[in-house]
Amino acid sequence: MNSKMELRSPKTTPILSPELWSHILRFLTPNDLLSVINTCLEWNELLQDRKKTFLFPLILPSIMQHVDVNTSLKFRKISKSAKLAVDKTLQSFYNSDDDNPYDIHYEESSSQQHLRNVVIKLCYRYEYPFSFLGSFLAKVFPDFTEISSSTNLFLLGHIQYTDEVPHECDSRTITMVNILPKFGHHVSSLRCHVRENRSSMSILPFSHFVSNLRKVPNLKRLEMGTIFDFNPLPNRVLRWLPTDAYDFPPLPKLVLLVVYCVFGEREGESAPKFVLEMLKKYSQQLTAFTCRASLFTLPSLNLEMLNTSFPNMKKFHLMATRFSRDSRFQLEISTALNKLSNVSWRLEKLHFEVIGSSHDVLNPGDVLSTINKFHQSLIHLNLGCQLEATDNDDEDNEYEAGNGHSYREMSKLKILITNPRNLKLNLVKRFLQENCHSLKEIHLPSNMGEFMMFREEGRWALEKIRSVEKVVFWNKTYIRDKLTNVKYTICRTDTKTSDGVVDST
Amino acid sequence: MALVRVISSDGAAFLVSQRLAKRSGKLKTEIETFRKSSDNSEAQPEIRIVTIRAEILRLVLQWLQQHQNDPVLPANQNEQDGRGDAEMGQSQWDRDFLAPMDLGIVMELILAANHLEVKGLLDITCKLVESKITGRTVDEIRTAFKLKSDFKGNEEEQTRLENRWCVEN
Repeated sequence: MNSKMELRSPKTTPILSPELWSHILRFLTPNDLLSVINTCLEWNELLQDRKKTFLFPLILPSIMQHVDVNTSLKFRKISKSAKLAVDKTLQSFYNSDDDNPYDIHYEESSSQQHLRNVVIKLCYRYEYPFSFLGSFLAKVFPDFTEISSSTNLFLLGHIQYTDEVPHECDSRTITMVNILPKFGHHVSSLRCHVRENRSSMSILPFSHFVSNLRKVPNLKRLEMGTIFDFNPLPNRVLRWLPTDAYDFPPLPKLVLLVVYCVFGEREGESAPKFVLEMLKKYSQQLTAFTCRASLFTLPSLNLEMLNTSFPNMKKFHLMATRFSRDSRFQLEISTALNKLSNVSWRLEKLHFEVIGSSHDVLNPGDVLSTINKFHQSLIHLNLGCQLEATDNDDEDNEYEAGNGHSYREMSKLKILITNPRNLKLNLVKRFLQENCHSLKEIHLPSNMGEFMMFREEGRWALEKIRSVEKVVFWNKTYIRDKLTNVKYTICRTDTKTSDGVVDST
Repeated sequence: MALVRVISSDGAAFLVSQRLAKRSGKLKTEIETFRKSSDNSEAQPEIRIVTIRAEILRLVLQWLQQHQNDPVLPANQNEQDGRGDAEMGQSQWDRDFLAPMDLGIVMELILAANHLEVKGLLDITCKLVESKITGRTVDEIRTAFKLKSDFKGNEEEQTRLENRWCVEN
C-alpha cells in the first residue's frame, strides 16, 4: 500500500495516515483485528503483515483437534496469547456441562475425541493426592505466597483431592488448606474421593468438604464419592460426619453434580442426610445429575421432591451396581425406574449404566416405559446395560407401555448408544421401529472379539428404521499392546464401510 | 433451481444454489430458519456472513462447488469413517487449490470453514497448518507465524515446568 495514501474508516472517522491507523490497531485484541480485516479491503491490506500473528491464537482451537498432546502443550510456550488460547480451549472442553467427561463420547467426531483424550490425559495430572500435586506446585512456584491470586495454578481449572488429612503446617507449605483460599476461584471442577477403609481418619477430608466448597465459588462441576464404592456395606464412610457439616455455601455456577456414594435405606444416618442436604441446596440450579440407584430408595426423595427440586434438569445418568445380593439391586433399580417414570423432568439426555454384571439385569418393558416418559424432549439415549431376554419377548405379544397405554413417539430422539445385545430383543426392535422415527445414529459398543457378532442387528437397524443414517460398531481391541477403540461404520448413503482407530489407552 | 444470496462482511453478494449452500452446516441452518419464518415459500433467502470477507467466502464457495457431489457428511462425520479423511481424501484438486495460498489466507479459511461448518475444508486447511508446525521447535514456529515471546520474568520457565508435569510419568 502506498504509505502516502490517506485512509478513511468506512464511514465516519476523520482521515488518518496508515501509520496512525496501524498504531491505533496495535491495541486491539485478535478477535477485534479479525473484525477489522473483514471490514474493507484497505484495512485488510493495512494488516496484511500482521495477519499470521493475530490469527494464530484464533486458529489454535481448530488445530488442537489435529495434533498430539505434546504439540498442544508446545503452543503454550510460544506467547502469552497462544498460552491463553490453549488453556481456554482445554478448559472449555473439559468444563462444558458434560456429565461424564472421562467416557468415550461416541457421537463426537474423531478430532473432537482426539482433543478429549488430550484433555483427559492432562486431567489425570491434577488428580493425585494433593500432597503429590503440592510438591509439583512447589517446584514450579518456589514461593507460592508471592504469586498473584490471578495466576491459575490448575491448567484445566480442575483438581481432585484424595484423602489428604489436614495437618499442622506453616503457611508456605502447599496444601489444600493453604492454596484454596487464594487460588480456589480458578477451580471450576472438583473431585473429592475418599479412600474407603476402616480408619475413621479417612473420613476427615469429607468433614472438611463443606469448608473447602466455600473456597471454590466458581465451581461448575462437583463430583464426590468413595474410591472403593463397590463395597456393598452402606454408610461406612459418611457415618461419622459431624452434624455441623451440612452448611453448604452458595455456588451459583454449579450445574453438574455427580454423587457416587452408596447408601442404605436408613435416612437418619449421616450419609443420606449429607447428600439430601446437598441436593436441597443445589438441586434447583442443576442441569445434569449422576447418582446411584440406591439414592432413590431414600423415602424423602419422593416424587414431589424430585419434581420440585430439579426444574432445570436436562441430563440424567443413573448408575446401578449389581452386587452378589441381587434382591437389594432389584429393589434399588425398580424403585429408581418407578420414580423416574413419574417425574416431570424434560430430559434431553438419559444414561442407564449397570456395573458389576454383563448379564441380563433390567426388564426391557420397565426400562422402555421409563424412557418413553421423556418422549417429548429426549435427544440422546445411552443404554449402557443389558436388558433381560424375557420369556414373553415375542413378536406377537401385546405392545404397550404399561397400564394399557401405548408407547408415544420419541419425536426428538436422535442418538442411541446401546449394548448391541439389546437389539436382539423383539420389544426393543419394535420400539425403535415404531416409535423412534427421528433416530439418526446408533452406536453399538462391544467387548473384545464380539465385534462381528452384531452385524446383522446393525443391518437390521439401517433397513428397518428409515431415519437412521449410520450405525457405528465400537470394539475394544489390542493394537501393538495398546487397548484401542476401533470403530466400523455402516451408512445409509452408500454401502461403504471402513475401519478406524479412535483412541489408544 | 432454488437459489440463496450469500453476502460477505464487506458487502459482496454471491448467488448460489441452495443445494450447494446446504453443504455448509451453518448455511443449511440459516436457510431452514428463513423457510420457517417466511410466508412466501418461493422467496429467495439472503444470508449475511458478517465474519467472512469476500475473498475468503469466494474460496469457500469454490471448494464447495468442487466437492458438491461428495457424499453428504453428517455434522460430526469424521475421517475415521473413511470419508472426508484429510489425507486419504485430499484430492489433487485440493492440493492445487491450497498450493498458491499465503499462510494468512489459509488461516482465514480455517476460521471461515469452522464458522460455516464445512468439515472437509476445515480438515484439509488444519492439516496444512499442522504440517508447518509438526516437528518444529518453538522458535521455528514463532518465525513461521511472525510471533514474539512476550513472557515476563519467570513466566516462560513456569510454563515449561507445567508442561513437563503434564507429560512426564
